[in-house]
Order: sequence, then structure tokens, then C-alpha cells
Amino acid sequence: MSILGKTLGSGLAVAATFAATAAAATLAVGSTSLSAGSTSVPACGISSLTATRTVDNSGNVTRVSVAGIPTACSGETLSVTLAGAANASLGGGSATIGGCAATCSASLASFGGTVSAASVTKYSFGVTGA
Amino acid sequence: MKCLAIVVAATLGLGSTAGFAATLSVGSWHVWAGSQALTKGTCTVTAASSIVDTYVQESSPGTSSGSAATALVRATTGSRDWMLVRFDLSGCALPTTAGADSATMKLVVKTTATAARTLTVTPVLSTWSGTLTWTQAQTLTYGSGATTTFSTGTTNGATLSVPVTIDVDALIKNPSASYGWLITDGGSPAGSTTTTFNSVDAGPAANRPQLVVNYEK
Repeated sequence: MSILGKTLGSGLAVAATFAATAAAATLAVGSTSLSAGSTSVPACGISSLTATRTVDNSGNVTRVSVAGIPTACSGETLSVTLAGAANASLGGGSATIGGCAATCSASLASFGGTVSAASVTKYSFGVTGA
Repeated sequence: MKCLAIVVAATLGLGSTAGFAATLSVGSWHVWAGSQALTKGTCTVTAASSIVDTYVQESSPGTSSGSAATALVRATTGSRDWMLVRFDLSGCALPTTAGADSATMKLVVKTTATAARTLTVTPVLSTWSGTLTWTQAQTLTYGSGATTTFSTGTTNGATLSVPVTIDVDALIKNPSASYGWLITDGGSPAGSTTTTFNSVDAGPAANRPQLVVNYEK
């Protein structure tokens, strides 16, 4: 087999690997079904999340808290991104969902750097759990 | 070589699609993503009906000065004067989930001491009224630490901007705790130490204490 042939074969193998993963991308987010196109179960019952945050006297974010998380999400991971103009990430972090009673909560106090509250125009959330 | 280029391009193309799938942790039982857009705005509290201020005098411990057109701050031993001021944010109609991006208290200096003084702003944690006296002020609860300090400068008529973001952010989240601030002069008690501010009773809004809040909700 020529060098070109070997390279082509390897490339196709890699491409096939990505192709298999790409097929997973067609699954709807939040689905627990493996049949493509099916959306059956919202992730642990979340329909929306609302964050509140505190600041220091210079107006920098010191903590972001999210309450009202369904108890089915207990122990899962909440990721929060603080976004500014043009959805640019200003910082973010993750925390384990806990403190559960009627609902659960999660709180972050570190964002990978100083974030001015005035620059934050959106919070983006992600919840994942095995 | 052309074939190789095509293969690499195809691989990268598929890979970039697969990259998104990888962030979804396929195989997890729960995956959810969402966002919360924030609305920004500014609220300025200037209405006399939304502001309470006074000053209390160590030399006249039973006297109330809530209706005076000025409020004094002085460090002189045995004759200290303290100013107290608070603002009602209800007119801003902010939900308790909102927050202050920045908050600035503006005070107009009527007359300064001979040299600039450094004044200390401390949150008040218990309720008080405009009829407060020095004696009563001793029984109030104050924050364990100062919110900030600021210099009076030496320019009569100057408007001073005092950052109070951390306290206003907390006030938005708990409106019932609207107890305002104590302003004191802990500097040297010798010589000229009196700073005189215009109070809420000083007339036009431009002369009164103001609170400017840049918020998100």
C-alpha cells in the first residue's frame, strides 16, 4: 500500500470515528432516549433558572447563586458563564447542586478572574449529571 | 496530495460538528442548558420624601436636628457630630432578584474644614428616625466594618461621590433593611474639624443627598 493509501485509510478511520460521534449530535439536548429526534425527558425537571449575584463595593461580582433547582438535580453539576457584550465570556465556574429542601441551590464564588457586574448582560447555565 | 488534503478537510469538518456533541456529555442522564438575559437601568433617588437624614451632637445629647438644612460631621473631642442618611429605593421598583452594578451616594458640601478631612461611612443595621438624638444613636447597631471612606476636599459647594455599591446591592435584595449610613470623622480632633453638608431640607434637589443606582434585573 502506498503512503498515500495508508494516509487515506487512516483519515477515513478518523473521519468514521467523528462521524459516529456526529450522529450523537443529532440527539435532542435533554433526551434520555437514544432514538434520534426524540425529546422525552427534561433534564431533572428544570424548565428555567434564575441567578442572583452579590458584589463588592467596587462593583465586582463576588458570588452567583441559583435557587429553585428541582430536587431531582441534587448532586449534579451546575455550570454558570457570565457573559457580556456579543455573548463574550467574562468568566464562570461550576458548583455541585445541593442544599436541598423543597428545592435545591448552587453557589459560585470564583469565576476565573475579576468580573465587573456592570459588564455582565447574561448568565448561561448548564446542568450535567451522570 | 490532493486526496490527503480532502481527507484532512473532511476529518476536521466532521470533527468540528462532533466537538459540539462532546460538550453535551452524551451518556449523562441529565443534560440541560439555558440562559438568563439581564436588563440594565439607572435609578436616582432625589425625592425629599424618599430621603431621611439628620445629625446628632455629642455636646447636645438630647437634641434632635432632623429638620435642619445642614448636617454636620465633626471630630472634636467631646463635641463630635455624626451624620446619618438613608434612602428609600421602593420608587425604583426593583425585584429582590435584582442587584446593584454600582451605587453612589452624592453629598453636597456646604463648608469644609480648613484642611480636607477623611470621613468614614458605616452601614446602620437598626432603625432610626429623623428625630434621632446623640443618646439614641449610641443604642443603634452599626456594621462591624466601614463601607468606605472619602475625602471632603476643601471646596465649598462641591458634590462628593461616595461608593456604596455593596450596601445598596444588599438593600435591593432585602428592602426592609433600609437603615442607611452613619458618617463620622475619626481623624485628629484638633483644630478645625467640622464638615457641613446640605441636608434633605436644604431646598432644590441638586442640593440634597442623592443616591444613584445602576442596576441589573
